[in-house]
Amino acid sequence: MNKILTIAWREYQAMVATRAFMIALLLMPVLMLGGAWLPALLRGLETPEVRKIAVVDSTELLFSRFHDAMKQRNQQLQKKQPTEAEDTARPDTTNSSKTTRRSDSDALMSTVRSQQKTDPRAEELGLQDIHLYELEEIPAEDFNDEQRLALSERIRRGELYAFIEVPADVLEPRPFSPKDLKNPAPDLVRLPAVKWVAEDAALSDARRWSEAAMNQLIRSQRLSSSVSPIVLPTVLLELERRSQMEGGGLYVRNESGQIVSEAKPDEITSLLLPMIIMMLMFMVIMMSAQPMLESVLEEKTLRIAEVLLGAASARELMAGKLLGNVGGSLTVFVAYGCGGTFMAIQQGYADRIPVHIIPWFVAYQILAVLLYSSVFMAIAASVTQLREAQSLLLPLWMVVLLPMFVWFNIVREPNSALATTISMFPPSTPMAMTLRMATGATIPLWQNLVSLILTIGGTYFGVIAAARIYRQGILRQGKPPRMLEMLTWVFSQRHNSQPARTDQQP
Amino acid sequence: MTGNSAVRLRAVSKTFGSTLAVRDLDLEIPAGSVYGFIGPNGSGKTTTIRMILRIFQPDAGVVEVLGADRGDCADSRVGYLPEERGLYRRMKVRELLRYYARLKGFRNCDPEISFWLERLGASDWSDRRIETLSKGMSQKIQFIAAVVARPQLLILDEPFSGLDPVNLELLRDAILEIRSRGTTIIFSTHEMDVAERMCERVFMIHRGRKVLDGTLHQIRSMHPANELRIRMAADAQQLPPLPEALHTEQRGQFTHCTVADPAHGQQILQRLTNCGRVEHFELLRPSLHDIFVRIALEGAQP
Repeated sequence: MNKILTIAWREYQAMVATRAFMIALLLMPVLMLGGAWLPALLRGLETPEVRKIAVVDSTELLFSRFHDAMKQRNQQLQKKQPTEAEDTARPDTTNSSKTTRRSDSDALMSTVRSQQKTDPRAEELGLQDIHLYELEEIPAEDFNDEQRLALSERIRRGELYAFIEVPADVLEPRPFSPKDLKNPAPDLVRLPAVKWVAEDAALSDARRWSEAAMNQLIRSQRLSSSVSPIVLPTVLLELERRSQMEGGGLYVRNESGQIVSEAKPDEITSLLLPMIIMMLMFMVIMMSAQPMLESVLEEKTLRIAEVLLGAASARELMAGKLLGNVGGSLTVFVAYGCGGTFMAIQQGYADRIPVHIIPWFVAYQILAVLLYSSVFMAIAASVTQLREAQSLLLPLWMVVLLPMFVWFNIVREPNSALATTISMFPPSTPMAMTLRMATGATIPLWQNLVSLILTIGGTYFGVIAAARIYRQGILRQGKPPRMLEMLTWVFSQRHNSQPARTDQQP
Repeated sequence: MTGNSAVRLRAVSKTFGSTLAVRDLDLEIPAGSVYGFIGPNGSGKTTTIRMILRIFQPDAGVVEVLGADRGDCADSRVGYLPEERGLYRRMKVRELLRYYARLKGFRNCDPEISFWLERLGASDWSDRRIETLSKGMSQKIQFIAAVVARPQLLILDEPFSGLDPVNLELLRDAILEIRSRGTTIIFSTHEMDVAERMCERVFMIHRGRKVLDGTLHQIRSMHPANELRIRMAADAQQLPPLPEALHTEQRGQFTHCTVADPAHGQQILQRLTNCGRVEHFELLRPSLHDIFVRIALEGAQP
C-alpha cells in the first residue's frame, strides 16, 4: 500500500503542481465560455453596412408600411438601445412622434402591438443583424423574368442585397367554407409565398427579419379588409394574446401539514446549469485523462517503466497512478466548484447551486476518471508515439463526446428514451446522468442506482482490461499492436508480449 | 537465502508467443559475488534479468531471489540499473532519488542520497532538473537511484555506457565499494574486458541457453590456448610449412596459427628455429572476448 501511495503522490504532484495544469485550469473555462461569447465578439468587430433590398409589391399596400418598419429598425440600431429594440423589431411598432403617415387606427394598433409579445421571432431578430437596411421600390406592373434577371445581376455585382416579390394574391380574401372548418386541410391557412431572392444563407438575419415583419403586415392588412377599423385593434389584441405556461413543482405536504408546491427550476436553471455541469464533467475527464496519457508515454519511451516495474508490480503502478489521477481530478472539481460557487453567490444565484447533485457528481466523476484514465493509460502503454496514440484515441473521444452531441435533446426531455438509454451506457453515464439530474426533472431513483451500478461494473471491467493491456504493452517497443492483438492481451492472464527491443538483433 | 546463494534459477523457461526466450536455465549466483552476464543481443539476457526482477514470471521452473521464490514485483532488497536510462525529465535530482528510494520502502533516505551525490561528485546537481543533465551525469544519477535503498542484490545493466574514463573509474570504485559491503552484484555487459576485470564469475547465455558459467579461470581452462603468435627476424627465411597448424593468418608483423593441441607448439617452434631466428613466439590464452565471439559465431552457423 505504501508503494501505491508513493506512486499516487508523485502522480498527483506531476499532474497538479505544474504550470501547464494551472494554465489549463484557468484557460479551460475561458475557452468554453469564450465559445459562447465569440460570435457576439466577432459581430462587434464587423463593420455595419447598408444592405439594399428591392421590393416588388404587387399588392401596392404593403411597401410603405414595410418601409416604415425598416426605417425605425435602422434608427434603433443606430441608437443601440436594446430595450427599445424589442419594439422596433416588430414592424410598425412605433410611437406617434416617429411616424408621419399613419391613421388613427394604425396608431392604436401600434400601441396594441407594443404592449404585446406578438411574434417572438420578430422580437428576437430585431437587432441581431448589425447592418442597416435600405428599401428600393420596384414597380410591380409588368414585372417579368427580364427584370428578375436584371435584379439578380445587381445582386451579383453587389449593388443589391436581395429582392422581395410580394404576390398580389397574398391579400386576397379567402373565406372559409363550413366544409373547410369541419375538416380543415393542412394547408388551409397557408398563403401564397413571398419570394426572397438573394445570395445569402437560408437563415440569414435579414431574411428572417423580413419574413417576420412581412407576415405581421400581411395579417394586419388582411384583417383590416374584413374587420371594421374601430374593432380591428381589439381583434388584433385578442389574437395576439398569449398565456405563458409557468412551470410548477409537484405538490407535497410539508412538515407543518400544509400542501405546497415544490420549487421548480426556471429557464436558467434548466438549460444553463445542466450545460455547465456537463461541461464541468467533461473538463474534469479531459484534464485527468490527457496527463495520464502523457505520463505513461513518457515512462514508456524514456524506459522509466522498467525501473518502476523493478520496484513495484504493474498492478501497484497502475493503481498508484490512477489514485493520483483521481486526486488530481478532485482538485479540478474543488477548484471549479469553489470558483463557481463564489461566482454564483456574487451574482445572487446562490439558491441555484444544485447541492443535491454534488455527491452523485463526485461518484460519477471518480468512476469516469478511473475508466477513461485507465483506458488512456492502456493506449499509451501500447504505442511509442503520441501520433500513434491519437489514431487509437479518436473512437474513444467519440464515446466521450456522445452526451455532448445530444445534450440539448437530453435537457429538453430528460426522461425520454434517448436520455435514459444514453445515461445507462457506462462510458456516457457520468456526463449524461449528471446532465439529466441538473435539469431539475424528477429522475426515478432506480435509474440513478442502476446507472451507478452499471458504471461501477463498466469501470471495473474497463480498468481490468486496461490493466492487462498496460502490463503487456508497457515494456514493448517498436511497432504498435493491432486491435486484435490488444484484445488477446485483455483475455490473457500471462505475459505473452514479446518485449521487442531496438537492440535485439543478433 | 538458500544456502549461500543470492539468486537461484532452476529449470527456468520463458516463451513469448512462439519465441522461446529462455530455455531450461539453471543458474546459481553466490551471495557477495560479482557475477557477469554476457551474451549477444537478443540472447535472453534481459529476459533473465527481468525474471530475477519479477517483471516477468517464468513459464516453467523456479526463480529464487534472496530466499524468496515467488512475488509479483522485485524485492525491495534488489536494486536495478537498466541499460536504457529511466529518469523523469522534469523532476529534480534529489526529488527523483527520494521517489525511487521510497518505492523501495526506504523512507529516511536523505543522508544516503547526500552521501552518494557527494561520493560521485554530483552534490551541486541536487536541485537541478534531470533534463538539464548531460548523459554522463544522468548515468550517475541512475546509478545512485539503483543503490540509494542499500540493496542486497544489485543488478547493473551496462553501467558504464556513456561514461568518460574518469567517471568510469569513479563508478567502478563505487561498485567495488558496494561489493565490499557484502552486496551481490549482477553485471550485464557487452564489454568483455570490463567483465574480465570486475567479475569473479561469468555466465553467458546464447539463444536462450546457458553456454558458459563459472569463474574466469574455469572458463579459460575449458577453452585451452590454441593460438600461436609468431614473428621471425627480418633475415630469416620464409615461414616453413606448418602441418600442425589448422589455420594460419598474417596480422601486421605477426603470424597467427591455430593449433588443435597446445602441445603442437613445441613442434612448430622447432620448425621455425630451423629456418632462422625467431623474434617472437607466444602461446595465446583465449580472452573472454575470443571465447564470446567463438561461441556466438558457432551458434550463428546454420
